[in-house]
Amino acid sequence: MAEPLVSIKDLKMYFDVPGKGKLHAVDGVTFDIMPNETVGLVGESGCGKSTVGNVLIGLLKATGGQVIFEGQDILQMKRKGLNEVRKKMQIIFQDPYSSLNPRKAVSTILSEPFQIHHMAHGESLQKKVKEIANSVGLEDYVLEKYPHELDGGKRQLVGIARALALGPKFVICDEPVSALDVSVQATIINLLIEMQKKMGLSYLFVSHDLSVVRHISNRVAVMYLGEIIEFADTDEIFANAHHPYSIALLSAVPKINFEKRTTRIVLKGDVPSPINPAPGCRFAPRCPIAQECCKKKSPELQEIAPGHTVACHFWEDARSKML
Amino acid sequence: MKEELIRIENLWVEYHSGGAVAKALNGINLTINKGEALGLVGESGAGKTTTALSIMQLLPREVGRITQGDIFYHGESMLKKKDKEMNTIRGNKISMVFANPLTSLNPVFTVGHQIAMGLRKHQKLSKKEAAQEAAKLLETVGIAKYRLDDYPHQFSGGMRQRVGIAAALACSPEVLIADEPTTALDVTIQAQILELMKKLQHEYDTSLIMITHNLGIIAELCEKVAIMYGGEIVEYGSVQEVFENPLHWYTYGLLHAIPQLEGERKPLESIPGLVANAQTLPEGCKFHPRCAHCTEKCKTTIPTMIRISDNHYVACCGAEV
Repeated sequence: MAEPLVSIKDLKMYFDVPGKGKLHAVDGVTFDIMPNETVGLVGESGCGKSTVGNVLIGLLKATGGQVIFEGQDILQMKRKGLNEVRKKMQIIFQDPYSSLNPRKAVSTILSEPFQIHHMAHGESLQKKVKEIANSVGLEDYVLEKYPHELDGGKRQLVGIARALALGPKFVICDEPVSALDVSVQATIINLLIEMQKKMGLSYLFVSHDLSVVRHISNRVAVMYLGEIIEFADTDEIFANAHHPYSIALLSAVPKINFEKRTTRIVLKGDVPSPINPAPGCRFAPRCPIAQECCKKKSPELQEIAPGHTVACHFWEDARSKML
Repeated sequence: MKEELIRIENLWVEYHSGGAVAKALNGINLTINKGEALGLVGESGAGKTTTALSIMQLLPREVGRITQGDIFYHGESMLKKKDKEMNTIRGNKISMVFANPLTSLNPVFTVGHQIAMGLRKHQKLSKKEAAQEAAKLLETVGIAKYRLDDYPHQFSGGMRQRVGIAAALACSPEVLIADEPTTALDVTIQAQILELMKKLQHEYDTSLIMITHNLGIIAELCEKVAIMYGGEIVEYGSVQEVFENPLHWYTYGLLHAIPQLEGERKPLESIPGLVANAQTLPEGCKFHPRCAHCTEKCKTTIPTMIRISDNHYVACCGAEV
C-alpha cells in the first residue's frame, strides 16, 4: 500500500463566539489523501468543509490535531519550513472575482509565486509565466489584462494557473466551479482532470455539488456539522450510502432521469448551530431513524466494508428504513 | 384546452446605461396556461429574469425599455394598464419569489408585517384578520406561527425563502414567478422548498414560472420548459420531450455539460466559447459562434421557431429540413 501524501489526524478548528461559546467548525476530522488521488469533501453550508481546506493550507491556525505532509506535521512548522511546503500545497478559491488582486495584471499575478519563492526572474520568469498560462489554455494576450477585463471562466483559469505555477503536489479546490455557468463549468472540470494526469496532482475537492464531486473524485467524505459522518469510494457512496444524512442528501438532488424516479427524502428543519453542539449524534434532531440513545451517545466512525466508514448507531437499518 | 393566463407576444427589451445598449430580450413568444408549471432555463444573461420582470412590470425605470411587443394577462394588454391597475395585479394575481432571500425581505419589518402587507392592501383585511391569515400562511410553509413577530435576520436562509414564498402566496395568486428560489440554499433545504411548491401548486392550482439554471429542478417540478439563449427562446416543449430529444445544439450542450449522479462517468462535453453578451450579440443565430454544427446560413439568418410536434418547438436553422 502506498504512503498517503497528506494525513489529517483529529483536526479541530474552534472559533470563539463572544458571549455564546465555542463554534465547533471542524471537530475531530481524520482522513488520508493518497498521491494522484482526488478526495471529494461534501456537505451543506456551515458544515466546515471550507474550513478544513483553509486549515490545511495554513490560512487558519488549527485548534488541535495533526496534518502530516511528506512525513512532517505542518501545523507545528515554523515559517521557514512552511514556505517550502507551500510550494507543494496550493489552493484554488471559489470566487474568481474576489480571489485575484484587481490592481494587478494577470502577468503580475502569475509572476508572484515565482518571485516569492525566488524561483525565477527576468527572462526566465516571463517564459515560465507564459508557459503556465498556456498550459491551462490561456492565450498570451490575457497576460496583459486585468482581472476585471476577463469573464468568470478565464478568471478561474488564472486562479488555477497561479495554483499550479510552482508544480505543487497537493491542491485544495474550494468550490472551484460553483460561481460559473454550466457550459464554462465543464471546461474547468475537464482541465482539472487533465492537469491532475499531467502533473500527478492530488486534489481535495470541496463542493456542495454532488454530481460534480462524483465526476471528479476517487473517494468522498461527507461532512455534517464539523464531523465526517461517512467516507467511501465514490461509486460505493453514491450507490450504497449508509448514513441517514448521506442517504437523504443524495436523494434530495433533483435529477433529470425520467425513468428511474427515486423517492426524495425531505429532512425536517435546518442545520442546527455549531456553537456548543449538544452531546450525542449531531444529526439526531433531523434524523428520521434516530432513537433515544442517539441523543446521548455520539457514534464513532466504524468500518462497515473495506474502505467504507460510517458514523451511525443504526447504519445497518438506515437504507431499508429510509428508502 | 387549458385556460390561457399570460401570453407574451414578440417581446423585445433593451437596457440602456451610459451609452451602451444591452439587448436583453429579442422577440420572445410564450404562453402560460392555468395550473401549468413552466421552466425557464438558461445561463447568466440569457434573459430569464428580464422576462419575469417584464411580466411584473418591474423593469428598472428609464434603464429597461420594452421596445416592441406586448404581454397579455387574461387577454388584456399589461403594457397599456396604468400603474394603479398594475398595483392591483402585482403581488395579488401575479406574485414573485426572488432569488436572494437575504435581500428580498425588508430588515426593519417583522415577517408577519411583510406577509400581511399584501393582504391588507389587496384584500382590505383588518390588521387583526391579516395577522391571523399571515399566521396560517407561515404554518403552510412549515414555520411555527409564534415567529410572526420575528425579524428576517432571526431566520435561517431556508426559512427566509419560505417567508418570501408565504408572502408571495398570501393573496392566492394565479401566477407565481419563482426566480432561482433555491439557488442560495442547501440541497436538503432546496428539497423542502421544492416539495412545498409542488404541494401548493396542486392545492391552489397556481401557475408556476420557475426560473433556474438547474435542469434537475425543471425535470422534477415542471411540465413545460423554455430554453433561453441570448434573449431568445431557442427550444420549447414538454420537459420530457426536450430533455430526452433535444433538437437545439445549445440544449444538447447544456445536457451534456453537467455531470450526472448515476451511470457511467463520461468526460464532460463543454460548450466552447462564452455565453453571448447582450451588448454585442452576433448576427444570425445567437448561438452560432459556439455551435459545432454552424453553417453559412446560421451566420446570417435568424432561425424561426418551428413546430416539431405539439410538445416540441425549436429555433435552429439545422432543424429546418
